[in-house]
Amino acid sequence: MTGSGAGAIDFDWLVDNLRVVRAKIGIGEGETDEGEPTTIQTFAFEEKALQAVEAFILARYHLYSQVYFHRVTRGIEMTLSAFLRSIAVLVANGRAQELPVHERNPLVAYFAAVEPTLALYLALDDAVVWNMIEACADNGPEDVRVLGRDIRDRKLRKAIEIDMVNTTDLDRLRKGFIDNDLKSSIGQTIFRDAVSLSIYKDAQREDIPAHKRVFVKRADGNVVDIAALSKAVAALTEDQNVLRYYFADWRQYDSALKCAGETNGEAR
Amino acid sequence: MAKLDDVVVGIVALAGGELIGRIRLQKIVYLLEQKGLNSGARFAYHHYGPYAEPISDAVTDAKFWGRLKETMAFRQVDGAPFSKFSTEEAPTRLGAIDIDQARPLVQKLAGETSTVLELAATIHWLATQEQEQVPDWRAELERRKPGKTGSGRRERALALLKELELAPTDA
Repeated sequence: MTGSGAGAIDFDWLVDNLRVVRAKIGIGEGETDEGEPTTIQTFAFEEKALQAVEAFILARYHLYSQVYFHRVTRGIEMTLSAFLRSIAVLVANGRAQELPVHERNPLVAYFAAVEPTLALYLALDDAVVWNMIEACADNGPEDVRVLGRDIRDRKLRKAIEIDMVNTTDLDRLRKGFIDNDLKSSIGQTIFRDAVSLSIYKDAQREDIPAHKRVFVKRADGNVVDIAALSKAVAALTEDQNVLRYYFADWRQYDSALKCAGETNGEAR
Repeated sequence: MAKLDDVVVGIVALAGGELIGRIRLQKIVYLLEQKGLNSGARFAYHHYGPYAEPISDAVTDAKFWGRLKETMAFRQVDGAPFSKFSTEEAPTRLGAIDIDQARPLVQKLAGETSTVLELAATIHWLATQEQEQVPDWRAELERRKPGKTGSGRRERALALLKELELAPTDA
């Protein structure tokens, strides 16, 4: 659907080698367990399918990096988030009547509620959001009008990506310049997008709960985490953070590039 | 208010230049915050107890600027990955805590297992956070941490909180 060729997996072989097993789960952090391991019932793959499992995990990783975290996709998401946030702020400040929509608009009602109900949440859908975008793009208050128009007209923000994994001096210069010299614009005309791209990590980046781990049943019957068997998976367990700055103002974008001695005089 | 980058690097440094585990790091910051660290980190309850996303971001930033190193290692019993942090910096203070007070505090906390720290932070959270509205923190602790409170770990967590003067009044 995305046109990307990434993500091919051997689904049949994976399913053929999926077993229900009892696995020992340790507690705490460190090479030795901090207590008596507990035993849980969980899924595991036979060791002969290790490479297919490895390929599955790597495929998922590549899909995240190439599709879900694609710079254009994330740029639009940043703009949409800012748009919805601006609507929420307007409503919270008692300015909902400035929005060019009916007072009973589901999005307005949702943001106006101190504790939104399930019914208010269920009333929200793509059509509600698109309607708000279209309405505000031409007739909304200035801050939401600009954002709405950018989304409707696909006016993408310029992005500067900072390599957080194989960091260069250029990356340090740019990040330092943006975080210090353009600090007051972050959140306003500059959107900062930081995501943790990890092959195998809990969202809280502390530890991986047992139910999210991938286990492999070895030939001797032992059940272990795939990270202990696969060097490829192990190498990517550390966070591969993605950091991008999205610029609404091409002059700021240009200055962030110029800070490192390069220039791009392209007007927005 | 302290910069969180300085705080995470400072904790690793005061622990002897090395610290094992992200859970351990998060809970040390949480407990030090109760002792006047003034890091500005705002905590919310997640899977392993009080957690602040900005602390993870501070680790990322500290690594980016070369102040902190993180390597991955694996637990022997089940191969679960965990982090090992190291730094060569030598801080002169830790947030709002004077270095002479901070050092023994950090070393005491770093010397505990991550499970005991997790339990101690969770006990303190349950007993003090109004939004939790927990009538009985002991029962809630058992409910949220099955399999972790045994073998004297809960008692050790309470003893740690008493040493830090952070124990619940009904402990």
